[in-house]
Amino acid sequence: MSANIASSRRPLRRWITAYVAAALFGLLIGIPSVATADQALISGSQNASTTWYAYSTPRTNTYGNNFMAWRMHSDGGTGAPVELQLRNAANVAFATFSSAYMTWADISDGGAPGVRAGTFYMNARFPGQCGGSGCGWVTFSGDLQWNVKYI
Amino acid sequence: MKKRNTALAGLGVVATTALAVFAGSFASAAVPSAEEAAAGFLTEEEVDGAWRDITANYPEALPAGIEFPSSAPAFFQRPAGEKWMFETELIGEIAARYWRCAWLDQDIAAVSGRSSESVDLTDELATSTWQDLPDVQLDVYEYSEGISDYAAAEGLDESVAEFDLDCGIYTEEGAK
Repeated sequence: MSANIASSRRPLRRWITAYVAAALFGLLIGIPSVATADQALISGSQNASTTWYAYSTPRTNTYGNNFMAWRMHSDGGTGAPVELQLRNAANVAFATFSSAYMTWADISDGGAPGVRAGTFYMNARFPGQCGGSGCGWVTFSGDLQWNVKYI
Repeated sequence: MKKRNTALAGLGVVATTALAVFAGSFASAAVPSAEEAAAGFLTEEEVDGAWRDITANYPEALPAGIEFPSSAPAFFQRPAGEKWMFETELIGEIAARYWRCAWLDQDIAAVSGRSSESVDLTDELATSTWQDLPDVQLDVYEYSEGISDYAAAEGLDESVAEFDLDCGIYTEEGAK
């Protein structure tokens, strides 16, 4: 009887050890703050509605023509892609875009493929799922690539 | 039995790793309460007051004869019919950019001969001075390196390159 208890506890201990190790491993590779100079996993919290939210983090494209792309990780549970807009320091909204879940969408400023040099800020809204009164605070996230020389 | 337990443990590793990765992707995006989230944004009606608050006693002076606009610049004026909220730090970020562009304009004027005054702008144009202004989100050091690279590639003076790229907030040319 005691042997059975022992044998049933050993796998449990092994499983707990594996569980903790896996959780640590997952957290290590899952932390989104790690980013290269031209790609970051970004997120924002806002009321899901047709209201635009203007975020304060500036980012800069430093090539004459820059490749940019966006890939949504989470729509915050709204069931609709977050719509994003880029606005430069001259107050010109030069790109509006969205992407399906985990699908890269290229970003263009409307001229030739790519985006011109300069600093930009991001704006976001959820136009598809919730009305003007919103449907609560949500957090969206996704990958943004910028400042990649367009070849 | 042992094989089954080992298999279960392995399955647990895979499942837990997947869960942890999924959870980890939200690690920096913990959902705040509605009050916490709303507190980080200003309504369109609040922007002018916040602009006046931050520019009234600005820690660094603007060039002689230059003043901050009395209300928030065109950057904060959005198309009619749209509703906007602005992250609080955006006010300081744009005020700092306005300050920066005013001094760049002085520098360009001096170099081009547009200004007869010979001025030493070493302190005003120092990266550290800009970086230390209120609510500056930009990594000014990294930004300056990028602008320097861009100017070299395009064959431009660095001040001119930066002004042309990012000072529409100051000139309000092209604002829409």
